[in-house]
Amino acid sequence: MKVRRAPMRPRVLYLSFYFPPSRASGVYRARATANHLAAKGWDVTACAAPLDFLYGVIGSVDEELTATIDPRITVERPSLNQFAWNKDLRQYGRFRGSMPLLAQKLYSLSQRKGFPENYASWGLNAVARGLKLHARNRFDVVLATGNPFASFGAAWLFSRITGVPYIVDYRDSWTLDLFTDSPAFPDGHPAWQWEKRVLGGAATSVFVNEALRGWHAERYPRVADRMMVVPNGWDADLLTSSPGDRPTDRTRPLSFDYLGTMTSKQPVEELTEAWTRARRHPDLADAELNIHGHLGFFRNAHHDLRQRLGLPPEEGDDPAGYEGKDLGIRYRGPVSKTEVARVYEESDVLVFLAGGGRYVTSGKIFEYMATGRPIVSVHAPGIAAKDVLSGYPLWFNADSLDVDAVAHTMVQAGKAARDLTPEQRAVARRHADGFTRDGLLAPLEARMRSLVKRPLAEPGSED
Amino acid sequence: MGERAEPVGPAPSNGPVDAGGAQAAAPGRSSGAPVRVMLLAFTHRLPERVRNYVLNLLAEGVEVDLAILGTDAWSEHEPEQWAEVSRHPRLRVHSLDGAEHRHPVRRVERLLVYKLPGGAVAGTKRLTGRGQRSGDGGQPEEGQQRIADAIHNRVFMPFYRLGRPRLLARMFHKRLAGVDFTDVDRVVAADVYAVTFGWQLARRYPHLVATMQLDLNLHESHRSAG
Repeated sequence: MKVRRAPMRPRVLYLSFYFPPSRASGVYRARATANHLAAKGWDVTACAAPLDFLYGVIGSVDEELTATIDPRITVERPSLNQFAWNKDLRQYGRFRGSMPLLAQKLYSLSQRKGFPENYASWGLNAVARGLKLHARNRFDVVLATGNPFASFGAAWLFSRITGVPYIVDYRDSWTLDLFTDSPAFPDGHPAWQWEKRVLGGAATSVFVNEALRGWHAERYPRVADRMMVVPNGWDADLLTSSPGDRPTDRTRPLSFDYLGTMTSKQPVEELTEAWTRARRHPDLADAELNIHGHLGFFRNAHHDLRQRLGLPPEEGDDPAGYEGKDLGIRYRGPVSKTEVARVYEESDVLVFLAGGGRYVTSGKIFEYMATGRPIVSVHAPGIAAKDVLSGYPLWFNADSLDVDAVAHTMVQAGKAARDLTPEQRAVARRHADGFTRDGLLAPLEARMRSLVKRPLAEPGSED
Repeated sequence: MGERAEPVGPAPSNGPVDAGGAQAAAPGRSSGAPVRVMLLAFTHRLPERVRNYVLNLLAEGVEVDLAILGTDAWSEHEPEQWAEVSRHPRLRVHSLDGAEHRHPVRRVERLLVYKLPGGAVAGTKRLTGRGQRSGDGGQPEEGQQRIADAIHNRVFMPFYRLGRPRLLARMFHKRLAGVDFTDVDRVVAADVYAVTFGWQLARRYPHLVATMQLDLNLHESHRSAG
């Protein structure tokens, strides 16, 4: 009897170091991409960071995010040599303990001669794991997202060995420093050679905005025709309630809110000073600026940021420099991605605080727009996020980091929040509807599908 | 000159020091004793981050034992800061006071690379009488010095640096023989040369937290660990 086989599902190896439960800022794009592909009928195997690294070294996890991963996705966690992060002398082996300088030199040599990144060993192990899985069931495409960019090197190597085409997704920039708008490595650094090699072999390279695509196209003109832009977007599944429908209570103090991880690269002093000045206006006299999220990506980074925000010192902090004034700034702590809808619901004005300049979009801004709330900008002028925000009717942008100008826009945004009508909100949210993650990922999925060389099931069909 | 034996500051008491410092994790210490940190900094000049770390620990109420190559590693570069910090009652300094320079390995190297060739050149000069003529510019000595420097920097030092962590570990074991490590809570290696000594201490004393991380808020972390 002839057995009729079900149509084949396309199979992708997704190299994404930061993947739930990581809470790194780029993890949402990886999560959404994997989920989108699974929903479109792809058999997704994600290679992600080992858990001992996420919990023990980075210490930044959001376990609730794991539950939002499509159960059809297989997650592999290749190991990582944690030489560069391991500060616990007790864990050092005999060689490193007795010959630390030699161990360090050998490690540096492996970076120079191999792949110039501390995550190189993870990339190599991901290739080994991928080959093992490929031998059992062939992958059709490899999709790699960076940072870390060892995933790009791994995709290149996997493709060299197996011939499977690969796509690199520049969630972040590799050789361009986004905070200084200048090259991140000196001439002759192996990163340049690797980037050229990776882009040369990639079927497609993906960037989050046109400015970044343009910068890379200028540097690598031979592969410019294989570059595309897939902006970040907002995750409809994580913003399930209908923020913005709550009637404005004119009697309660205004709540300005920042959501996300605050880092030392952001203009924190400007925010604090502008906020202090804005609060001198009667409309904002009793307003609060609530910071939701982590202060810094790494453990112990929050003390410095607390100080810069003028927050009272915690137990054990150095009280020097704290003036004891209540600036109306409240640190509310981390919020699970699954709880952000509630925060948006309680907010009146959202604060878009971003470091860097013309190549920075920030994933957060899409979510902000989806709430239909006034957004006040605190960032350098000419930021790439302008392309996304320019059509948003409730955007208040000083286009400067001048504290008086920022303070003025804060006051304006506060007034707008008080007077906001449901119609204005609806118009604002319609603008955001064009930026749902699924909609933005569709062209990437189509491009991946075009690379598959065997007959496939229709998009979106299930096994 | 021998190794320094006395601490710079007076011996600390085991009682509470100030409002901020009153916790301990090391065995055999009272639960009210401040955290005690042995900071190993084996570079010839203490970097700013290490100096600041010491100041921050002291401000936190931590007892600090600073193991260094010589007090000049701090005093030469920041004399005023050193004058102030060295009087701190919770700081004890354990210095090799240049003992590394006097180690047999370094002496033999100086003898073979500098003194014997230098002596030979000077002797040759004396025998040939060239040194007594005016205007010869002392060229043989300069040439010998350049060669000796090249051998020192390009041949000796790369190998010496590799073995230096072990050599310093041996010297500091002797220097700190009088320290009761059961009273110490944490060992911090501030640079790669201090790793071996810190690693050996970690193996010998299971209660010690041994790290290269310059962590603060130690009272909090040692209290929660304890």
